[in-house]
Amino acid sequence: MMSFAAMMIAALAAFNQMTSQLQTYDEMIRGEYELMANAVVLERMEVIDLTTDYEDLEDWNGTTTTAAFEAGGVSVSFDLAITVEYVDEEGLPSEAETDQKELVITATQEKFLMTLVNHRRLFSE
Amino acid sequence: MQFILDNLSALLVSTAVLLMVLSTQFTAQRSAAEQTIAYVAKKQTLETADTIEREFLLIGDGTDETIVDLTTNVAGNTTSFSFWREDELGADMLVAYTLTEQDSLMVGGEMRQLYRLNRFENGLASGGGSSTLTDFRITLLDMTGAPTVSVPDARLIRVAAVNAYPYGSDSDMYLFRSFWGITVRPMNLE
Repeated sequence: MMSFAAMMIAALAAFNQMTSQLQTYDEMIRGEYELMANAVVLERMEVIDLTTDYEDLEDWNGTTTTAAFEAGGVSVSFDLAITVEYVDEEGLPSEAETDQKELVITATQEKFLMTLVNHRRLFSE
Repeated sequence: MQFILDNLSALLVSTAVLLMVLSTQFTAQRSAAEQTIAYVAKKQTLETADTIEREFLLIGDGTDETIVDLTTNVAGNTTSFSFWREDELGADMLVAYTLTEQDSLMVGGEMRQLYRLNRFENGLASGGGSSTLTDFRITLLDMTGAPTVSVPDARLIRVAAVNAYPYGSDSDMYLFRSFWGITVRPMNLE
């Protein structure tokens, strides 16, 4: 019985170690994906900022697109969702028309259930 | 006879337990080393990234000229990128980022070239970055976000880099890679 218990304890310790290692790898990989997603979202934000007049920003509301991060022979595609809404002076969503709009770009990736990055930028009239 | 069997089984069990404990310990040590290496690679990548991001926003700041050189090698890496900006005293300063080839590593049957990122101010070495980059690419983008080679048409600059750290023995080497990218909009690229 004692020897069986010793083997069980050793096996449990090994299992815990392996689970912890896998969790660490998952977090490291997620961190890399977040940095990649950050790059594609910021680029999309800059392009919208450059090409869109303040009055036309609503045209982006509800749109979705895909964008890829490419480097080092790796190409990772991200799904981007864009929302635009009026916000008040405190940056809170406003039903009424105000003099500033907030554009939000959210990046997701099929490998991850949760949103990877979420960038906001305020545009003023 | 019973005594010998008891001792044999006890020896077998204790050996099995000992091997499991040692294996767990070895795995834990390897995991800790890997995490440390990955953390160092990421920290170095982000420090270089921070410098590049802040400096590229100043391209053409207080000067008549902006980007004067963008050279790419056959692998698609940017080997030279030069631009004018103002220094802290208000004088024009030519800043150059260059890539220098470092070691080559055979990883997974594939040869990987590592590069060092150098930085020069008016021709004098000043700062720099990692010496374990496998990729460093600067792309000029026009107003629509499309790549362009024309500096007058450029409005955005996309930078992508991959910093790598080798780990393990020559025969069983693994390359940790840390990815980074950003697109900046220097206000003087207009």
